[in-house]
Amino acid sequence: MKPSLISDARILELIGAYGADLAAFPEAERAGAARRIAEVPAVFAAALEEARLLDDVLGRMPDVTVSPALREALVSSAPKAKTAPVRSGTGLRRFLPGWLPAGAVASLAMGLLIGVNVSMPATVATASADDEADAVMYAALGFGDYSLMDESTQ
Amino acid sequence: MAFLSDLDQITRAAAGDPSAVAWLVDRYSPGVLGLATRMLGDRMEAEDVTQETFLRAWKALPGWEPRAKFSTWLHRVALNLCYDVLRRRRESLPGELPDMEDPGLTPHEHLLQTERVRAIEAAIAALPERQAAALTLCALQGHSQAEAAEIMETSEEALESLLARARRSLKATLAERSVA
Repeated sequence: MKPSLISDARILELIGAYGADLAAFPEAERAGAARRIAEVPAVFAAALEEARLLDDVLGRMPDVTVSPALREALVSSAPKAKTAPVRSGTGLRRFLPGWLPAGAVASLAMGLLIGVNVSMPATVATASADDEADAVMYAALGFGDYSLMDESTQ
Repeated sequence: MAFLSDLDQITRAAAGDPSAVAWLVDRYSPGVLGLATRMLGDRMEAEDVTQETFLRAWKALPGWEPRAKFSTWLHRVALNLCYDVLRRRRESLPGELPDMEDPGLTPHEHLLQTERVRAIEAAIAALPERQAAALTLCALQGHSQAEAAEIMETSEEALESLLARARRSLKATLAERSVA
């Protein structure tokens, strides 16, 4: 049999810390300890028995269960998914920003407002331009200077 | 595998996926609540610690980097919150043991919670806090030495020493009360 590399004192320390269940021992020392305990069981019998009593006491402790109310509280405290605004548009409209309709309405309102405000000067300007166009047209038709013709009529 | 699965669920939970959130709660809340209950010996305080632990987890999820396992991180947060509660308790009521009466239990749980269990819970909660943590993590929750040491931010050698002292103290206390 391969000699155990772990000391008896170390095995007693392990039993004192982890109890009688060798599966709870650190993995690196588990096999060596098991081998040594099997070689000389009497050396460890008392320590194992004492540890087993405490293991039994701890093993009988009931599991702590999470109540439905606590579970609900934990779940509801989590961040919620950010819901994207519903867009009815199709095709390229899906890629347009959501504020676009509001922007369009604002632009229309601005346009109407500006249009009303500049409509009067624009009318005057247009009338003046019409007179000049008439003068050019009369001159081209051989009626001479529009201003002279205008004077002769007076 | 569980590590990869955790990452996947964390990513989805951070995006607000309700099923991933429920998965994380179902997987980890019993361990966190168990640790807090054994450490504090008080169900209501343990539930408060559990809620605070998960609130911190939800905040941390969007920037989560898998330097440690999520379960290790979560238990560490819970443990530190337990230390805070115990510290406040010591400051306000020096030397007073926690009240083991538990109004938060169902009738079935009351039935299970015998005098013996209450005595053991009281004895564990009365241990020095790091001994109680080591014993709860290893002996009651089945964490490996490496996991428990990482949660407690200590070495495995120090953890072993804490465990040995915890078991000696608990044995002596229970022998006094004739529980063991």
